[in-house]
Amino acid sequence: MVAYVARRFLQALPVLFGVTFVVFLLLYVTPGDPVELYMGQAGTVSPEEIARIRQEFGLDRPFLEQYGRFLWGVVRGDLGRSIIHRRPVAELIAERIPATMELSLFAALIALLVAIPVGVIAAVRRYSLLDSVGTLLSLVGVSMPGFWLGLILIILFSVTLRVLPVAGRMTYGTGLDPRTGFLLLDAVLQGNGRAALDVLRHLAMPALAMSAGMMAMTMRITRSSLLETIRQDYVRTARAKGVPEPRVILRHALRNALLPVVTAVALNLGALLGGNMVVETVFAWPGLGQRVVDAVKTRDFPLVQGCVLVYALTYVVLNLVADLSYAFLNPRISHGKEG
Amino acid sequence: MNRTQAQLLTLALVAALSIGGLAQQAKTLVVGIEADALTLDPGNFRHRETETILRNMFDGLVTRTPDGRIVPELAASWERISPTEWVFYLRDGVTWHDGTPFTADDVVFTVERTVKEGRISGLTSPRKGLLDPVTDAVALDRLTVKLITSVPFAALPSFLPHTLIVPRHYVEAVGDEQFAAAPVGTGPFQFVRWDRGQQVVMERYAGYYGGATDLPPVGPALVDRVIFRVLPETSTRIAALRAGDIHIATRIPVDLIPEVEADPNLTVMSVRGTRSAFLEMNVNQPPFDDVRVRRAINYAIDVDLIIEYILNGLATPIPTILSPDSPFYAPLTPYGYDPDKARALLATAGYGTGFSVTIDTQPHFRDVALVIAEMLREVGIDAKVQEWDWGILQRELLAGRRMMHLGDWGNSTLEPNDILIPKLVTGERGNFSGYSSRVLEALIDLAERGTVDPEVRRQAYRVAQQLIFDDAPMAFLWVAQESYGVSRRVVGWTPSPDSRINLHDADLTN
Amino acid sequence: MGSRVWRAFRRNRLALVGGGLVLVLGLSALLAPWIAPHDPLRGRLPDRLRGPSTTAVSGKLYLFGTDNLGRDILSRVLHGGRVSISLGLLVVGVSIVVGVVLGLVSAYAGGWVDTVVQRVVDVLLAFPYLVLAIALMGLFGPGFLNLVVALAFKEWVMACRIVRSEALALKTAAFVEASRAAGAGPARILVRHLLLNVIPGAIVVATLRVGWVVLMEASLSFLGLGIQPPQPSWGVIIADGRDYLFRAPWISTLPGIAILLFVLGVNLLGEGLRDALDPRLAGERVGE
Repeated sequence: MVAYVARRFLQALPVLFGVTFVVFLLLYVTPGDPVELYMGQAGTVSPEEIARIRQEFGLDRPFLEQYGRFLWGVVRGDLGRSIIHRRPVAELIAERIPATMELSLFAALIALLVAIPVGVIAAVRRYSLLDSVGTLLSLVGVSMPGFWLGLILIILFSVTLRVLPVAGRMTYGTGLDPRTGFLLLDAVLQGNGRAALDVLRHLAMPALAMSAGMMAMTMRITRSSLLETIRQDYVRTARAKGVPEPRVILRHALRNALLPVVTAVALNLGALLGGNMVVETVFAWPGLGQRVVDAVKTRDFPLVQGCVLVYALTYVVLNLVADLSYAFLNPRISHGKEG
Repeated sequence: MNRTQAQLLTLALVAALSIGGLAQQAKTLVVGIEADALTLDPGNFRHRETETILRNMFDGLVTRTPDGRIVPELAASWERISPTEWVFYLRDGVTWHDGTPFTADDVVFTVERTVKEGRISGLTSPRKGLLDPVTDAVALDRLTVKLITSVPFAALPSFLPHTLIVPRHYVEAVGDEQFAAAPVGTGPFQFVRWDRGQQVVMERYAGYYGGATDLPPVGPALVDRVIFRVLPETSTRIAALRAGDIHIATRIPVDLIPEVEADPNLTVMSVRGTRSAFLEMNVNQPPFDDVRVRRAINYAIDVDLIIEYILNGLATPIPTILSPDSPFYAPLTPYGYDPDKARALLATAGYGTGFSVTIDTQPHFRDVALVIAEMLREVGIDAKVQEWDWGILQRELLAGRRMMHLGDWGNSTLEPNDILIPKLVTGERGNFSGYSSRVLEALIDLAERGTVDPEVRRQAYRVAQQLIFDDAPMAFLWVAQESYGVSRRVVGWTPSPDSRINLHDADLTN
Repeated sequence: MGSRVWRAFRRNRLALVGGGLVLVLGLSALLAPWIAPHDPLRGRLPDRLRGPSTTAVSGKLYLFGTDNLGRDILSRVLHGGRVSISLGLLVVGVSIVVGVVLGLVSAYAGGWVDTVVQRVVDVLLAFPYLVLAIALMGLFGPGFLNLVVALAFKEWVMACRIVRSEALALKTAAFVEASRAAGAGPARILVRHLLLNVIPGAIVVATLRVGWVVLMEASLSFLGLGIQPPQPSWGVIIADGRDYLFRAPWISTLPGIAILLFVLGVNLLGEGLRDALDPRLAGERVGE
């Protein structure tokens, strides 16, 4: 098991290498000079000043040298310094990760808590009213652009009803000391109930806006996967042997039906972590998504590279988790046959 | 008071502050701003919002009033003792937020940190260019400092509001990185905390010297606490304003002003900004190499109509690219809308049957671009609009590969050279029309370096503006107003043209 | 087989509703140049921000209101559908073909083929869509086809992943092993057992992804990286209207509903097709 995990990480190295190289190449050939963009469309800036900053950040070097320096930095645990923020990239990323993870995990939690039970019921009571309503609602959820749903939630809960805060992660004045950056965890650790409630109130709308897509996807996959499993031989056998129906579904069918669900959830979590730029923007959520959008727009090469590297690592880890749980749930797939 | 009592008192204070009664117990003014500060080090950024936030914790030698005058702040007065030497007499009795007295040494430190290479974490300050001809500063005594420039630089005071003075003792003690995270300044508010990406919190500095005497009231700030909350999305910012979460919202687009005004608790305050808008033409390629065509374009655009309908009336038409707020503005009569004259000019230039052209722009100019394209079609020019990512467009423009660019350029110092040079001098980084005029360049040189006589400078810039007007390398459009959504509870605050949000004089009523 | 599928499909009322929605929206988009009441690109400034109304203003009827430039929303939504729907179909069409083929081959062949394909998939999956999209759009310049390429560049890996994992499970399934033991060749197993069996899954994926691509386009527009204006797409119209949500909510509402109905329709249709295409499910009610 440990050897398997280690092997998978070794196998991931070329992927990470490939990702960083492609990013580097794409950024290098994409038009747009970070220093010019940094200086903005205002005032007088001398060519000497621009040249000096380019030199300070090594942007005047040839492509391969820049990439080599970047790799050498990564090996030493140094992701370089942001051109715009002029601070170490590692710091800029680290301070944003808790916010993004907290939001994504919360969204995933909401999605799973709703989607799996509804999916099971929809499959078991196929074509019933519950099935149709569940299907329709999940489809409505997945059919709305995230920012549109977010804006509607804001208008409803913040502006009209005034029950939830519009944006941000917390209100000033609850006495919360953000030590880990996971504010809910911080509030609980510090025994600050008021702050915990405040954090939850801030989390509610963005998490809901983000969970809609995953909820629908998970529900549909649970449903279709369970339907497929239910008609397999061993389920029929179990049923024929007189095993009670709930037991057939939960013991025999669901376990196997969860295989594709697990894959989808793990991949979806990756998508949540990497695809929440829009929701983060709407709710002013200070996560990695906002950071990478800004970094790409300003061509902050070191910051973009750092962010993409983190996304790639996240993907590798989640993928490993998906495969491990896949193997765990389906004894017929052994580790030896994987990738 | 023993320790238990002190703890109880602290507890009671914290409770009083936190249990809903913020408004009664401590006045907290919240500003919704569209971007977080990049750093809290006033020497290490080029970023509008960072400056907006920092100027509440730091002061400069001089500052600019909402109506654009340069007035003393940390300096009590100044004089130019030679074409390249300026002496500033500093205000006495000013203290840093940690209680240390402010002296000429701090000014010298700030200037050197800005203009000398490798002074901030081994890198050079990106604000060096804002002080450019300044090469050094010398403390003459505890409260007198001399600034030395490499060439005569008449506009120096206009550039100084953007150089905020930092504390030598503190920066040297804690280092650049720590200073950027938890700064000490001389401004009306002192740093409390920075939740990156979310908010910067500051509290009133009781020992504040009072600020610029030309900007009453003088004295400590009126509110107890100020929070700059980061809300990048416009609709979110307005929603927060309507929900009462924030009291001032920056950058309200003209279209959304009715949105804010519809709420009886809110109002909109506008101020003429410092960004000049224009439609640049590539003067090195046909058809725009012909000045008659360029003038025709100027006549073909109904600037007033666009201002009325697209900009809700919140813009001032300009005859060239200088703002009416610039001290050297020449009140020429703009071209004005005259489609017949435009068609006639096009015909005499040999383009009676029109031509095809693409207007390149960025998304925030989309509406204006579409309307201008429509107006150009009226005079027979087949105009299309293309939107770009700025990083890509800028390179195309500088390479002279595009024909028409709709955009704007900031001039927060309101000094003519600070916009005429980048936009119209040969080979400069903002010269997207490819314009090149020896006469114009000689005039700018005369005004900036050749003389110290204000009247000669004025004349030079007057001639320069007439020249730009006649050559028409661009269609001249407007200077737009910038609007803020403001809660009616806020009193005593006015927006500034240079996007400073000076909360020193602001107060909150109930 | 065709008539049986049709009979099964016809029984599923939700699927019929979905098919109807897709048909109506598809047709209205196709016929937009003829049925749109006004020019979608040009508006009258004085008529800006008018609400939905059944009475004509200055001789013009704006059934669903106008936007901030006085352009007719209905006409823009009809034309926007052309862009959004064709973008969704093109991107997913290309991606599904590539994804199914590579997913099957990867799962069946295993070994180094699988490794190579999966490494490419991994590299692409590890990219946030947005970074790829911006960089590619920067390289190619803006435009509809470039957007198709920028989205399809990564899109195919979704189908590939899911098809591969389904095929892997099938590969070890009893009936495939039985067939192999009975002497069936690789081609037969690939097509007969694997391809036919992953098709329902691929259809489910494809339907969801068509909707997803349409939504992705909206998100890109929201972040300012979408289709070239003035050409409208549903996403562009929503994104443009978001600043007017309080004052002129109709701008974003109609295209929002159009997206919702279209994606809903495509999904219902896909579900119905899936059930109908699956021979072993025909007519069977499970759990009842």
